[in-house]
Amino acid sequence: MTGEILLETWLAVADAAVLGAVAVGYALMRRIRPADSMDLKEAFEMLDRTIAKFLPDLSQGYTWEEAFERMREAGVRTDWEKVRGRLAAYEAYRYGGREEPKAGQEDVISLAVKLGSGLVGKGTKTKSA
Amino acid sequence: MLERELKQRVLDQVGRVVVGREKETELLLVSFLARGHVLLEGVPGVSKTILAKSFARCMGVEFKRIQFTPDMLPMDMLGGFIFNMKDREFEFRKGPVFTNLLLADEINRAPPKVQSALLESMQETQVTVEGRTEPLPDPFMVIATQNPQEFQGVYPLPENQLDRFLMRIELGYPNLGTESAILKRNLSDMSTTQVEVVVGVDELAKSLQEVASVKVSDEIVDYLAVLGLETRKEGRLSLGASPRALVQLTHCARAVAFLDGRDYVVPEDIKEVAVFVLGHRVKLDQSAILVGTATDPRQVVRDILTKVKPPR
Repeated sequence: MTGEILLETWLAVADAAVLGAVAVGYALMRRIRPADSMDLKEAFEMLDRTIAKFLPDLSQGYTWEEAFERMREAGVRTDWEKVRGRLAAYEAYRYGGREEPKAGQEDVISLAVKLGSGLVGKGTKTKSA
Repeated sequence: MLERELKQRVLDQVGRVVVGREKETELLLVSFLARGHVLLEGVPGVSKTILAKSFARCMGVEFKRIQFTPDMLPMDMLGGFIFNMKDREFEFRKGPVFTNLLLADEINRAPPKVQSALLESMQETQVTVEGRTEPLPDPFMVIATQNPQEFQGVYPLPENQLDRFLMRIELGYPNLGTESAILKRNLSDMSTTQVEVVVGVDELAKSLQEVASVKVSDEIVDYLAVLGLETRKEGRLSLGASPRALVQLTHCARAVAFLDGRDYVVPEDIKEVAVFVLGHRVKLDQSAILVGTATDPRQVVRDILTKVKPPR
């Protein structure tokens, strides 16, 4: 009798652990969105947030080109031509009324991830940008 | 990209005569395409006149120069009625202002009545003499020069006159490398006659039309409005940017976008020219000057540009 109670208790705990792990996994999945579920606008918004942390002394009035220049100076290595191409497509859509680009966000997201990963040093400068 | 080529052609030709003034040449081209007038400011001998002459020559437009003096009369610039003995009637003789590109050399040496006579020409692109109105050629641009170091025998331009200029471009002394290049260039006897016409009449007319059709999105318009508001709220300024200043900044940004091969304006375009367009239109507050928080209105404009978040 005691053995049955112990077994049931153990099974209940195991069930709870499995369900908890599934719940945690799902929550993490929702937090880290795959690149293909973001559009280019969201990718640039993500990059904007990361830049604010990576270059804390960069003034609020910065433009993308100014931020790219600072990142290059800070030694961030990426395919800048590609990133600039994505920016041109994004700006053509946003300010020029062109069709929304359906691809290319992965280049912007990978740059944002690179900045946020801490693998590249902080781009802080002594003089303000 | 034909537009980028156009810019390069102009830079190359002007660069044959004027050394180290690429940025200034580009700003002249932007102003010309934005149908605006430019005030070149600098001490004597920093290539203000030669820059204007070379630019006019490579654009292939009619060019005239007026040397402003204290004894000048409006008629010397605008023209006037002359009695024709043959026809026995008065006829209008056009003055040097009737041209595509007018170099108003040392504009602050002319008395205020001559300076104000330029107002109508610059704003309305027409001249009125004794009730007769004559349109000026199209395009029409005034490049005026002045030496900011002179205090005697000069008449400083009032705010309303300054506001007529789309841009004020300051020409400082060249750096060491440029100075050497200027000396070497002058040894080989270069003159503006060696500048070739690189912009055709049709291309110019088409470019002016295309600049006027460059798209300015609502987000960009809002950004411009916030910039204008910030200049008026700024404590270090007693006079902020006028709505006309913001309209002119928009035209300039369109020309910058066009020369970059785009048919829409991005925030970068505005930041590139804002200091040149707004710097002479805002006025420092006397108390800010006295306590030393501001010495240059252009620096205040730069500070505002770094403070206001552009659309991203």
